[in-house]
Amino acid sequence: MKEVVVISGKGGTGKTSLTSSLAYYFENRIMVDCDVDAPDLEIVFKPENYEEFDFIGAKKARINQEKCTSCGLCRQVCNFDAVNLIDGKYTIDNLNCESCGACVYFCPVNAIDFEPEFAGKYFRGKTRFGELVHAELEPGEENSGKLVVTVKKEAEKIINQENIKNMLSDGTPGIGCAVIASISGADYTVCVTEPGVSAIHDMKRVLELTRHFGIKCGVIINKADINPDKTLEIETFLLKNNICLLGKINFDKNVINAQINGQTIPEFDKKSDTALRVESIYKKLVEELNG
Amino acid sequence: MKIAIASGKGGTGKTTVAANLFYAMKTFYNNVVLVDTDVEEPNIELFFKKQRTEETPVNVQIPEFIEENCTECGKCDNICEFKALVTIKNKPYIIEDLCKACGLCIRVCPSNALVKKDKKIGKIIHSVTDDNSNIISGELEVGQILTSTLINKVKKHSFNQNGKVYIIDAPPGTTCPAVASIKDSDIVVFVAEPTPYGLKDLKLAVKLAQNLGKPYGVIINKHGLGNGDTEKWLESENIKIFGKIPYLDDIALKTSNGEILTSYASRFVVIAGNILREGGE
Amino acid sequence: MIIAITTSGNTLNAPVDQRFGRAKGFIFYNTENENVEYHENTQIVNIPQGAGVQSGKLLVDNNVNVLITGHVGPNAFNVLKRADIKIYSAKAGTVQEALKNFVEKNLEELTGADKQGHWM
Repeated sequence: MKEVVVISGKGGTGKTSLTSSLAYYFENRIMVDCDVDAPDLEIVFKPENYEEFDFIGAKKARINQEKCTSCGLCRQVCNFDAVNLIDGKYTIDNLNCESCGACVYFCPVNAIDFEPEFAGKYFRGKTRFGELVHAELEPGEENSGKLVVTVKKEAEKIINQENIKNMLSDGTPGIGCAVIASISGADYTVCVTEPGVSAIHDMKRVLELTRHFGIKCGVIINKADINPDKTLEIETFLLKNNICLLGKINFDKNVINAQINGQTIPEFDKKSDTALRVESIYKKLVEELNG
Repeated sequence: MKIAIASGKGGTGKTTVAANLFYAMKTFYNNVVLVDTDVEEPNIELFFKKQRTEETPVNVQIPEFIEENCTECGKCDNICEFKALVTIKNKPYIIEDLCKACGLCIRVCPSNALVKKDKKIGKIIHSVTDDNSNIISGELEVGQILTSTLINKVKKHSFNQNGKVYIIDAPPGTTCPAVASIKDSDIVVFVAEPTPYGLKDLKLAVKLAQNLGKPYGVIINKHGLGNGDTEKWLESENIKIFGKIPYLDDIALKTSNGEILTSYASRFVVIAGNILREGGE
Repeated sequence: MIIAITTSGNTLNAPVDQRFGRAKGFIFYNTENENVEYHENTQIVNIPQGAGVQSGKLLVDNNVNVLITGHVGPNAFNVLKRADIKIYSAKAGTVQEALKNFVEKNLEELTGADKQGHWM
């Protein structure tokens, strides 16, 4: 089984469009939406969810005002400014709380409840491209990394049951714990970038991340024609650093039209320049995976 | 007034909008401070020429194990919610990259076998532009996970600048980094792109602002790309549209070069005015 | 002694799982009473290195003396070393075959981490 994760550093470079379009060419595949914060693969694949699971996130600390004696020890031991004192009453600010349990441990009267709470859902779905494992974290929740790991484990169960050869994951922008959880264990990461100062800056950071974790990475330059100078800058950088350029794709309004139609790029027009380039990227990716 | 520039989907144009709004706000107020809390991928600095820059490392305190003080009392066993400390034969073993620097194990150890050690998680970059404005960014060290902690430090540093208006360039999404960035703001401005993915993620973002009880509104960026569904939805929900920025090749090119859209300055001034009005100024 | 073998199945005929931290499960074999126990690896840890350490702790808590697996990352290696658990490498084959090879002293001892932190 080969696991490929598509990341980008900067958002909006075309991860989801490319993940879904590359999936078209892979045989015997399972798709995983690791972008649990803003999952979009379901728009193109409209999965028929046949199993749904609750995701139980971090424990939430809550002060039971009936037991609280207002000693203030909780506030003293909190490193995250998450205990507020308002009108003599101590309460936990759940937006700041990192669920470390320090206040719970030190409360002399056991007045702080600390239970894991519902934080989102994850699903197994059937699509025209095979199985899709996806999730949705409730807005405002933390622990996206944990949900990503959960989603990947669920996918692994299906991979083992049905002997699936290829796992294709759509990642999240950034370099934080959700991205780290997404790329953990992958055979290859595909970094989608575009020719712009922000995207280049962010691409370099995410490539540093993949190098930090020792995972092979290849780059796709999307919307390459909007700034040929910057595209050349990226190509030069990749060459100097021995990073594989998987391919370049030009800006194409039909990528959005395909999205609007609920189709991947090759389904929209297999013979389009964009689709042909995606196909060539797919072939290069397979070479890299087997190399 | 603290204005957060956020979005559900990444790549809708938050940084572009924040940078251009910054100039627009300066036509209304003298002291405008620009803050970049997208600490995983900070970009706002790329749009400005700086007179000077100061970098300050940001550290947290993680535990260091002093073996000779350990009495194997076992108090640290199973105490770490993040599994960053496990006991092997009654002695702690620390996985630094999992540690959230909560300090619990250090507080709990009765024999000083776990002491504080500085760990750098990133830095605060404070720049002053050619026209004496302050731009403050946070940058997370690659491989570190304490995004929210760094964001809180960036905000603390920024809000000490006595700005009249703060424009906060937030990270995309609706989970903890976005929440940490927008929770102190007086108003949230969502930058949306009128595509199916953009609309789906915008709905999640709006839900977040509603849960946080924040006034909010939307700027439609890359207008002309995609379809009219986003605008229709905003109108059906009675959500304020602060303005629209068209998708044009020259805008895409300028932005990709890190240039301010000077020819659209007046449009951004109008948008700024709309935001200030909605925010109660 | 108690020997732990990483496995992707749950019987002695199952293949050896090459991973340690993210192994699907572990078989604990007690050489004294020939008792066989299976432990599924149910931990959910976000960061790559965490898995190896947690698995290491599982072995320590079960008084394991020897580990047979494919690869071990640096964090896991340190934990196992601290706990005086010897590590032997078994590439392919079943759990049963690995045990046989261990007894016949055909397995190579791992004296250092041989894979980067998180490898699958």
